[in-house]
Amino acid sequence: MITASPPELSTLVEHLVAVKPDLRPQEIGPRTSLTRDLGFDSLDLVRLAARIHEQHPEADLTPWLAGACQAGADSVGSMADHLARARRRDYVALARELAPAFAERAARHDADGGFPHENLAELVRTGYTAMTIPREYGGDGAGLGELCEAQQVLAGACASTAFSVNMHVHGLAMIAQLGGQDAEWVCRAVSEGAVIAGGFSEPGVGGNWWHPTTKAERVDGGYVLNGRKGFFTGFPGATHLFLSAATKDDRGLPQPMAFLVPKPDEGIRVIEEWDAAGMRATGSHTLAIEDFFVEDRWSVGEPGKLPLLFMTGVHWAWCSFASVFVGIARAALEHVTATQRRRVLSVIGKPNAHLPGVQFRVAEMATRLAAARAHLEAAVHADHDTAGPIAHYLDMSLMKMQVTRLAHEVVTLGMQVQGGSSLVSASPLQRMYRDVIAGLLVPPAADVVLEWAGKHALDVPIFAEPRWAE
Amino acid sequence: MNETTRPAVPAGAGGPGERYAGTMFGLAEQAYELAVRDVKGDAKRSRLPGGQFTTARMRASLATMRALMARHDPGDPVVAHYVAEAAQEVVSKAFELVTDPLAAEEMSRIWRSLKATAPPLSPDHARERIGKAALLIDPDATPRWL
Repeated sequence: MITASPPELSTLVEHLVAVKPDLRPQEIGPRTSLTRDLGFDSLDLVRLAARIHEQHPEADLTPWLAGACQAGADSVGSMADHLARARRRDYVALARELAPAFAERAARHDADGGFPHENLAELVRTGYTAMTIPREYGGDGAGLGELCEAQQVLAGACASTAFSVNMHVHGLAMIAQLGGQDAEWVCRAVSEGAVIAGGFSEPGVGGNWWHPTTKAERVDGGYVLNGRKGFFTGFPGATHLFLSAATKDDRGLPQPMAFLVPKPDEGIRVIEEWDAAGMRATGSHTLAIEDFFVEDRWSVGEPGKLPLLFMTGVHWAWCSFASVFVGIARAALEHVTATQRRRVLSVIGKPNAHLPGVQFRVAEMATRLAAARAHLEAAVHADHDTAGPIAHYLDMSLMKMQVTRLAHEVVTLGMQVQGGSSLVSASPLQRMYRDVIAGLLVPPAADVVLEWAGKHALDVPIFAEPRWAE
Repeated sequence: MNETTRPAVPAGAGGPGERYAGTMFGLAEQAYELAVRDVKGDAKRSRLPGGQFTTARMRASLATMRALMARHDPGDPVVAHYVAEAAQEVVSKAFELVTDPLAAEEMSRIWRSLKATAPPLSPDHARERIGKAALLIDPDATPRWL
């Protein structure tokens, strides 16, 4: 849902007063009805539509006015929302525009493991990287549903590009929800072309991201960070790094913190370049953080609140992660069905699609894909505000676990349908197969999710020690 | 109410596929609740990782079924086909967790109901229709195969 911002409402009020000069602006609010409260007749409405169309040619208000007035839903606020929708960019359509070129380059990036800098540059140039800047900070405020749909489209073309930019778009949304100065400067930087890469994973930490081993030592004016970061997806293309580290509170207990810093020339270096079976073009390097001084102003949120911040905004992370792998599965099904409709074996003289075995496996692919998409959609549209943070975190985590498992099954079945030809390097399916496995491995760690969700359902305290009975 | 926890389509509503999926889901949900109650009744057993993991897997599976029933075209055979298989898996897992004899008896009744409820399409027929739809083949064309 789009909610028009106050400046848009005030502009609209100016238009209303220009059409009917006897109106008093201070008496016009979002709920004010054009016809019932302001007395607009059909001629006034035509003049209003023409006036707005003159300034915003992309917005034709006439059909909306006709329908809204007839339905008695002609409030000033709903008109402003309609205009905001008409003027903003459609990010799913943008993803569709960008996808063919990304798909063309995907095999080359996968083969050489190089970071897709040109794809990222396109995403910045077209405004894709700014999609989750909220309206109050001058952005289009793309919601979670739009983000996930757009990411599915990109992932179907080049999963590495989609997963790299995912760290940026969802990280931005999570920081923006904090509001205040943190949100303001980050949104401004992104609107000027900044790209964020996130690093919460660390060697030896496993899925327990809320216990960073990277140390943040308090010094005058900021912190000195030392530690290691693994799987730092998007690092080669990033201008800013979103890092976790732990400082100590007054009692000497670790306090997880987050920092968003401009990528430095010194203090952070790549100690191992990403060279993996799947998601090869994500530049998910391993980094050493060595005596890296971070000024106070780059800390995000309150010290110690990182876990809560993450849990309350986790839908942005896990839904967008899941969407990348659903996108791969969708592309796999499309590729498999298109090939099987086309491929003719000489011994049967008809496309393979007519073989029962092919139909049965494709059916299992379609069924699992439908289930994955439905679960993702349900999570996207769940109530993210009133559920308790633990229950919310678990619902989202279970969804990610289920959806990535189903996506993996879809692609695996696709390999079986296609046969040996799917293994050759020229087949996009073998890349999808290697990429989709990453869905099972990226956070949240499945075993931690199963432990927490099981304990939660059985009324066992999640953090009690010892963790299990003998 | 949270989207991921709201009740699924009640048994008896909608077309044959929807009714069947609703029935299967209802049985899976009963089995899950029975198993959770049984495990919770034993403080030590509820703190063992095996039961916790199995409970979580059932919970996740129910959430997927619920989402599919709520968000996908209920007339598509995909819904009943997926829910039937997933419901069997949930009831099978729930069976493993139950130790109380009365609960096990109730679980047997659920399992029998699950297996005795006829689907609107046999699993093979459902696969044929779903596969043909995905491959853009007329499901009513003859001969059915090559």
